[in-house]
Amino acid sequence: MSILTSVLTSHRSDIGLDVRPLSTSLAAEVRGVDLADISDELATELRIAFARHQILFFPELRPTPDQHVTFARLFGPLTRPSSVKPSVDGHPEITEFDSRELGEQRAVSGYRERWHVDITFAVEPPGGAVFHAVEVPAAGGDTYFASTQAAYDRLSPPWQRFLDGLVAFHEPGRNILAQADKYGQPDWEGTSVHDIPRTEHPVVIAHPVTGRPGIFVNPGFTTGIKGFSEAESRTVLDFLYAHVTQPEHTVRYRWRNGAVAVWDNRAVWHRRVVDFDELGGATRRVQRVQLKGDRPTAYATGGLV
Amino acid sequence: MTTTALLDDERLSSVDIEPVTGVIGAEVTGVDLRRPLSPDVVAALTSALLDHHVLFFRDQHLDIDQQIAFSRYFGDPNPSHPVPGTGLAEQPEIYRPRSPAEATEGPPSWHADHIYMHEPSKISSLRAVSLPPVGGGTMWASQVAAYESLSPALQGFLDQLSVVHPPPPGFRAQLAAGGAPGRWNGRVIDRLDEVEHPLVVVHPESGKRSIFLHPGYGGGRAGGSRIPELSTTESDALVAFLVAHITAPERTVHFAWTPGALALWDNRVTIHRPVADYDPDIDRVLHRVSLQGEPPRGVPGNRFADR
Repeated sequence: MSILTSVLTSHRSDIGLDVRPLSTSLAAEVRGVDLADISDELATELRIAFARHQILFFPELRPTPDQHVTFARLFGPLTRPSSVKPSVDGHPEITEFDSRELGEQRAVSGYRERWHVDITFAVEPPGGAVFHAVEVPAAGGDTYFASTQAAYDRLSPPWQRFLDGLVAFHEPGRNILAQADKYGQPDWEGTSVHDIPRTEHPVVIAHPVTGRPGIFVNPGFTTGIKGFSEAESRTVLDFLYAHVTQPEHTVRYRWRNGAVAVWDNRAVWHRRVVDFDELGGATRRVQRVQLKGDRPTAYATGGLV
Repeated sequence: MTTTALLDDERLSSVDIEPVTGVIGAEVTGVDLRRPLSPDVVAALTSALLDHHVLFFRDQHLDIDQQIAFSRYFGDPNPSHPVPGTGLAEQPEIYRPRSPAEATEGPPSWHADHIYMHEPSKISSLRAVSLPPVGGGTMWASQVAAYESLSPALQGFLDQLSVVHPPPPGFRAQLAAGGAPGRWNGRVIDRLDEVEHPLVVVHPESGKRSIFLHPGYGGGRAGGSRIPELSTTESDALVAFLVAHITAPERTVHFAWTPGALALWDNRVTIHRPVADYDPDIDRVLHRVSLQGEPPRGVPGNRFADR
């Protein structure tokens, strides 16, 4: 229980960074950050807290777009904010998602929210997101997060060993392709999402910073397990999807206007909660910057591809 | 947010009801549950409970007697279960659920309290006594939102079905082995049999339709809820689909307990489960009081429409 205990202690550092864990599996709420004055020392503490908790929430950060980008860079180099949507005017690093626009798409396509990790159909998926809740409903429109590392830890050893050697296929689904066509921005790192070949990633990856194993398939983009029949793939993936999203491995976050989150795509799935009327009065407008990620590496081989 | 201004003990106070998700759960402030409540406050809370299904009160720090007294504003307490020996020795109305992290048979199950009785509990209250520093929350899911978000064709199909609810195997065995009888809704209980309820129920106060289903006890098929009008495979598939649908993030709320907090929920339209994500060496203690209910009624045309 020593790992649990150290992660679960609320902590206020000498330079005033206040870190409070939100669950035993993942995520902490952080206070004591002044965007106008972030020292190197504070930046280092933030990166350590991020590696420890996989998601950091800053409930009252209220960044300007420039501050949003500058803050995101504290956690690493950036990549494009979306594979399908254009950026907001004047800020190529930022894309915006508006609930009304999503609701209108949903009314046409019938799309339902799924747990996912962003853009895992790319060879080098984004390593994480820095997310700004610009305007959210008074109630509703939360985001759910699941820890793929806690979920792996709670599998029995035979299942862990079974998964360790496997490789899964990832592809952009119909929803991504339809959005790419709609926005006329269908490329990722120079390749049209229509032309991205089926990508392979290990089923269990080693986290590039901490080395912790995490499950790296997701309901959004994983289409099968290499070498398995479709029925075998479906059985294993359905089990993993139900297991990872058990309440014991998840945290639900209620946004407030101006809240910022940093989450780690190598350790976390996420899912929007659409429990409000997207086409009614309430607006949920959020902006995202993405951190560049490396090619995921297999846990079984000690982090080597 | 709804604010009800009330004259209470010659002191103007206000009960604030703030929803915490889009469909289920509201946090209540502006009321001290340790003191007697005026009829206006009780009416405001009753109305909020109908609207939000579960109410959360923080920093109340009630003792056992105060929890029972508060719960009585909404109905008459039953013993913790229809078999003796499951509540506190001095206060059989108080149930201390087993710490979920102690369980070894897998994650805790979603359930409605006493759904296996002919008269399931209508309302329960749950009070934080001792908590882990992080984790150990409780989740509730709205069976009203679950029903309303289904397509009309499926709603019409479900309206006519019913559910067989097996009692928890341990309780059934305890009475079958000649254990002392229990009490429920004022009657002596000396055996527990499977009961049947409609799958879709009409709320006696709000008139709203909701699903009334939980997966069942014991984890296995023998203890699971089943739909008697369907074949076993059809029933298994439909129950699994409905449980996943009811408990989807769009229809749930997660309450992180804090010292002194109390939750009050409408057991006729919700299912709930603890979250066993904390160190099992830590003692998580909550106290529950459940209130006498009536047999659930089906929609017009259902064979349980007129009970």
